[in-house]
Amino acid sequence: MLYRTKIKYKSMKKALKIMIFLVVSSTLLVSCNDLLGVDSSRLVTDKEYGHSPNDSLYSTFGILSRLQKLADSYVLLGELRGDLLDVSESSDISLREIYSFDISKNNKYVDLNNYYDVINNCNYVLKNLDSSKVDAGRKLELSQYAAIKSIRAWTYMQIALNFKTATYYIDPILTIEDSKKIYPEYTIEELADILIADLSPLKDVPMPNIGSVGSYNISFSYFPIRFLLGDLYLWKGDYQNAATEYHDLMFKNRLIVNKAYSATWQTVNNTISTTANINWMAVFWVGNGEVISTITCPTQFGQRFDLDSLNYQGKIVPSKIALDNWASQTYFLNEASNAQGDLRKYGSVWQKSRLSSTTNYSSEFKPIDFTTDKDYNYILKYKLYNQNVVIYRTALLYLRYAEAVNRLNKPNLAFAVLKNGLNSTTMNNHAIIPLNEKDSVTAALMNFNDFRFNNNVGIRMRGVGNADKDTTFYVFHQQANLKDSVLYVENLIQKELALETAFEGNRFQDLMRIALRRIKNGEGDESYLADPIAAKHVGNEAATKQKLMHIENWYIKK
Amino acid sequence: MKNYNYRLRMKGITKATKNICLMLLAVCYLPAYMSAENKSVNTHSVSGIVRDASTKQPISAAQIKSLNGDASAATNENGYFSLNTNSKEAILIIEAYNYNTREIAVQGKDSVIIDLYKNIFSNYSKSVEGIDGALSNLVSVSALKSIGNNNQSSAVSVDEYIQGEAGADVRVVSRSAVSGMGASLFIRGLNSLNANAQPLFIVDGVLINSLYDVTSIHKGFFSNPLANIDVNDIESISVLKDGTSVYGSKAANGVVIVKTKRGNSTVTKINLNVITGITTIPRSVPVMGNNDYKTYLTEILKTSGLTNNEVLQLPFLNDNPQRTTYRAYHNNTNWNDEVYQSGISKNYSISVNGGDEKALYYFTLGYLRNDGVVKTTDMERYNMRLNGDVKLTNRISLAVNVGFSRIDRSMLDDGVDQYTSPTWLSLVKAPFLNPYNFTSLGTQTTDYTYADVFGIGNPVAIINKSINTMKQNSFNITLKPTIKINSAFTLTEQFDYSLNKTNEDYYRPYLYTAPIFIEGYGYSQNARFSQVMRNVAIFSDTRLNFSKQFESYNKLTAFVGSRYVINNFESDYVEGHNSGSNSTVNLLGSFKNLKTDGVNNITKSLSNYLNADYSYDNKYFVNAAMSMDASSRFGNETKGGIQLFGQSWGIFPSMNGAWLMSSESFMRNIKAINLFKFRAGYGMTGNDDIQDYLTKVYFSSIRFNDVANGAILLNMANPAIQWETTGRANAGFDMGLFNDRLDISLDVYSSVTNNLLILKQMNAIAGLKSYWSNGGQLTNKGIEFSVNGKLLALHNFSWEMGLNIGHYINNITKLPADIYSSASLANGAYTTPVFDGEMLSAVGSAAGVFYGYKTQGVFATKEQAEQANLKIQNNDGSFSSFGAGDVIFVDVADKNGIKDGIINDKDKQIIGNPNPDIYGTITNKFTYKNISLSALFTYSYGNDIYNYQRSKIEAGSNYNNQSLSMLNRWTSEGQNTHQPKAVFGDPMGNARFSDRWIEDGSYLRLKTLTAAYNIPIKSNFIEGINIWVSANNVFTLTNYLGTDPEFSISNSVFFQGVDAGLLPLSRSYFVGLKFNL
Repeated sequence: MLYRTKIKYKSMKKALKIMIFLVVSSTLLVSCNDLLGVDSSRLVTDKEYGHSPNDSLYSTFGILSRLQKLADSYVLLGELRGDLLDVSESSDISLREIYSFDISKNNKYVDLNNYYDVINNCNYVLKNLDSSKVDAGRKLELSQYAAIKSIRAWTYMQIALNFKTATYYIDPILTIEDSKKIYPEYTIEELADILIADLSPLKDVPMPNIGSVGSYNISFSYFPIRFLLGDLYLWKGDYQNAATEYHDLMFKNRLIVNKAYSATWQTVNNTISTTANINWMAVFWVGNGEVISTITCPTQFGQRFDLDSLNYQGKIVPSKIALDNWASQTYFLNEASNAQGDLRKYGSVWQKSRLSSTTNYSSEFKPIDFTTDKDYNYILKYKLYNQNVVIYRTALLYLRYAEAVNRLNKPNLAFAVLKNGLNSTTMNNHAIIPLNEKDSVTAALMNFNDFRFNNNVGIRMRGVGNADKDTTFYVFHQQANLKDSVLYVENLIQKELALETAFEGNRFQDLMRIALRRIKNGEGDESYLADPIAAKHVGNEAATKQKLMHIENWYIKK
Repeated sequence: MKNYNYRLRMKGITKATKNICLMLLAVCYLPAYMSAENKSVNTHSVSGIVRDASTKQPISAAQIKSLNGDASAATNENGYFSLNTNSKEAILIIEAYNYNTREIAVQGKDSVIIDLYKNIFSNYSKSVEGIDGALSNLVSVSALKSIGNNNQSSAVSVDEYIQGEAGADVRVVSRSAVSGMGASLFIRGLNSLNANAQPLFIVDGVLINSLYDVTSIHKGFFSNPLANIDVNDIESISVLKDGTSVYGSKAANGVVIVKTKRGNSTVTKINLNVITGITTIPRSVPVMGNNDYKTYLTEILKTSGLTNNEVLQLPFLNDNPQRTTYRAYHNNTNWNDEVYQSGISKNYSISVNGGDEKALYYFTLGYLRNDGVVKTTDMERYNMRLNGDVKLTNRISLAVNVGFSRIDRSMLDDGVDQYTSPTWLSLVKAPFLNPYNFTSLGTQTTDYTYADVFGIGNPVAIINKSINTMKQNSFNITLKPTIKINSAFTLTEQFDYSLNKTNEDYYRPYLYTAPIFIEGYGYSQNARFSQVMRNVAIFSDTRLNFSKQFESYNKLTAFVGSRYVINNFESDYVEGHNSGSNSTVNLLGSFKNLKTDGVNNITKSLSNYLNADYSYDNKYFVNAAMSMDASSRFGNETKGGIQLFGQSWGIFPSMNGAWLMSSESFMRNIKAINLFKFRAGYGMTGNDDIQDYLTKVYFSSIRFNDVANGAILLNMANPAIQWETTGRANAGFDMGLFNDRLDISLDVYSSVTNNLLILKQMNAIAGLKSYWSNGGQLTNKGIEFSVNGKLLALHNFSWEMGLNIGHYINNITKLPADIYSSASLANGAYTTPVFDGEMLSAVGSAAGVFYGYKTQGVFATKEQAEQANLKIQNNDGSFSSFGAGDVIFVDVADKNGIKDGIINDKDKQIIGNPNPDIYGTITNKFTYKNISLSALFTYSYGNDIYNYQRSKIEAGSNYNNQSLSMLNRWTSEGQNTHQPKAVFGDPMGNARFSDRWIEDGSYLRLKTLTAAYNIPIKSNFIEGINIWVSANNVFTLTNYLGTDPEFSISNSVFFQGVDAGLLPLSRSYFVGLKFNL
């Protein structure tokens, strides 16, 4: 009996051995990774993507599509918080939140994710682009590399300007773990140093020429590195470098304030008639030479772009201040003939009678009636954009240049940007640019003698007639001392920014930059920003001013 | 080559897992030790009489054998038998023609009297399909429900069939009345929030990809892969509620094993099956007639800004017959009649079954056509199946299954849809309009009218002009060789290839439907969608079986194997809009705003498993199982499981035991209890239905400026992503009382699901908003009870009744704090928007509870409203006060007890729970001679329903026709009513998601009533004819105001209990004829 049990036991052991063998062998099978490896023909993984020139093209388009999400935010944050753009009865809560500096987490126009979506995609491409690859003496992917860096830098600037600090990283975040790491945070001034170092070596790299997508020329989608550098230096307070970068960009890219794009009253017998030509509108047309950078925002294929419909539905409207700004200017034909108003208004806003119904199926009966019968102004600029939101254009470049040279103690030069136009005639006229503003150190950045600047006119000359000949209405009243003159001209530049670049998205940044500069220099306080904006909040001026007297309220809470 | 991490990390394994692993090993060794114990073998002599339970007459030629197979005998003409068994507590199996098989315990007795019941009764003692093939129900260890084929079902798909048969073991909710749509199934509560909560279906050993989250382009429709199986081909269905660890990471929601018929004898049998039926027009919500509607319309138009005079000039209110528009606006159309028809069903199938010693086969051909109750809708199915078993040598056999089916459907969008659902439009369309145009002389033409002035399309034109089709082809082939190595070992390999292809086409006609506003784009006047989906699955299962009986009273069966599944799901979708005419419906040049989309996902999973069953003396049973699963979806840095060979493996052990107490000698004196089996166990299972590719960094293609392709980063690698883990404890008993007159079964369970798949908030600096992660926990506790009584067992008449009750409590016990949701609340709680409502997920409440406002009627007077002083904040920041005729919403006090008087998000509370208190079925079967009458009742008690359909048809906020209850709307100062006033656009949000729309969904329904007759023909040619008639959905007792309290809009747990107005079940009648040749 005992013997039999042993045999049973042996056969059991054998069975067990076989079982164990099977478990182990089937497990070993999977040590071959292929058994569980999966590929998709629709999705590309990081191992497969980003390493060839074609891939960098795809990723450029990818980045540009992400950038589209920032266009609405750029304009709305820059203008609704400023003094020129207003909300209306039909504005929704998201717009009202921006307007009242009380932005909640759910605001549909403010999403920090969207900024970092651009940055992380840029980081990935930059990490994988081989900028040193050389073919026939030409660095193959360098221009692509520079272009993507320009987009990344611009986006970082927007974060720091809107949210006070930007979390800075240049290696792509590709895992959940990486996303939880702590990265350094920089204010705009700290960021400026880093970005200047990052961009400066690339400032002479030409923008990539990859042609057009549909009717849109991709070269307008990049931000010129010199413009970015100029802005960064300006925020830093390094005015010489700022002015140099702006000047070099004007020179190298032949960018001028062209007289051809003027808004003028037709003249009859040397007097102003009742008909105006608003050729100034052409400055917004991509390809006319004045648009430098845009974010293109078609609404096909599920892309969202709200600016047009907000404008069309009257949910954002020009403020009374904006309209008064234009109204208070004087159009100067000659001493005998002048008129009230800056004609640039008519390229900026348009009066519209009422919304037309979109749900009117039958002439017999209108199911949903018009929301309002009131006449209102809509913003013509946005229509002129034609779904290409202009970020940088020539006039802005000249105004930024003026801001920089003014702070180099050249208020007359800066004023000439507004009134006379920078060309050899102006530069050589010592009545306009006194000799004391010319020195050998800054000679290069003041070089406008080249013929390419011959048609350069003053920014104002395209809206208020012969501003250069006006000795009555718009003149530089020299102040008691140079410092006061600089402040005086800086105010004029700020005013001119409102007249020229209203609603374009840079207003709040401009006011903030000048205000911060004056606080830092002991030349003023928070009211420089708070006052004009509070004036827009009719009926609520005091509370708004009180809120804006605290710098932390100038930024969006993260 | 990479360096794989061979280090076995044990930290992820819980202590319980370790213990179970140890036990598992112990089980393997147990028989050896048991044998070594050397129990002495005594033969035991038993004699007895087998007789009919109702007449007590002896049954001759009944076969008796012991369960161990060591003894057998047959009764003589007096019903007498005697035999010797090895165990005095043996179980005898008694079989006799026309009687139910019975298994009885000897309990140490020398003589037994065995009563057999006619086979018209249900039977506990039967062979059931378990994980390891067929076994006796008596010795099965796990909680298992076995369903045979009752041969008298009009069900189109398996899931539908299960509802009638599974009692309370599965909570089955029909999706809609559209043919073959199937049902949502929940076994033992809700075991997931965001992953699949539907059970795993295994058909003939092959795991089926349920495609549970694949959406159709047709609204209110679900492409049900189970509709590919003809119910006539089903031999048995087993619902496994626990003990499913062999299926490891796929089994957390339970397992349903479907077995199709196979050749079982060398005698050729032919079955012919004919079923035809009609379905009546479903009930619909009564809506206003012309007069009431015009009154309502006048009222609402005045609130939309038109003056009295303007309103009166409108063509439908101007009753001057001279006007050219008079005829167009003065009709009395019953839109229901225009949309619905009686449905007609036909179902034919023929099967042949036979073979010889070498090979057996089962071959079937089937055809089904159901014309739906909505005009032009239909479903057509062709199916073929060949199941063969070939004996190649003495040791090697081969099973071959080939199945093919094709389903063609024409359908229409269903549910609440203002644009394209004819059933919905028939409710809301103005009765004074006509589906056809009139000439200027007032003669009706055959041209359909366009979408009307109220922006409502013409349902008749939509029925005839739109395209909604779906074509499904499904094919599979299985090869399963089996090698018998020796008496103990068998090796099998099952290989299956299956292809499931679906083509969907959709066209929304121009002008006949109202333009749809799509945000960020504009108006879509017509649209064309097309979708092709293809799922290829390759399945391989290698298994070594071991079966050995030691000393005749202890037995070990075990198997170890490896299962490998590849699924490749591919879909292509195109969409185009505004072609400007109905003349071309192909996606060619004239369509604009094209959009393409698609996926191509490959999923691979591998499972190594081990299962051992040990039984000692047919009284004590232990089952231990374990699987070790890896999947391409899992990361390699998971918290749970172990890391091996660069992969994470989930470990899913289980241990179940049963004690057949009634076999013990000491039970012989408790005469009332003839069967008592106690079962208990604990098992872990997982849910691997998480998204593909979450572990990888990947980029996706986007369109830039219409024409260029770009790539963007879409997913960040999450190497920690893993399966959801469910640990479930189960205890229960099966009891047979009074000589099997009464069967009682009770199960209690408690489960904890950990590592719930949750969408978490990504750190904003990463640029993406959210990521899938594991976190959170929920529990399910429940009871399943069934009692089945043979109330009357007379000579010619019998009555059997059964009651099944299921009950569960689902509770979310943990949620991570960093959940991503547009509507996240404190402590990780969040809401999921569902059809204008919100479902709350919060710790301490069940999944999918309704979260909205409570109401207290309607302000009757201005004074009353002013006193309450409730306001809402408008979009522009200003406030509006509730006035007379507005709903009184409950203003919830904050934690300081202060009510702010503003009705906003802070006033939302839980207003209902869609989970039932109890649910189940009641069965009755009466038999008189060859005639039987069966009645199946289904019920659900205590579940709440969000009546979305009603919330839309009683909103009183637009030009839609309204339900009759809107006649009670508030119209004048001082009127006491519960129906608020009608105001265009509903500026105060009276129709918002509130308890106004939450209703008690309890119901009791006579689901089927079937009479069957076995025609007593016996000839050489015909073996039997069975004829049956049945009525479905005969009546429903409910207080629910909607058309039907049973519906399921989606498989997701968040969508249960939301009545989106899908086609309701209606009464249907069927006649079936079955010839056995």
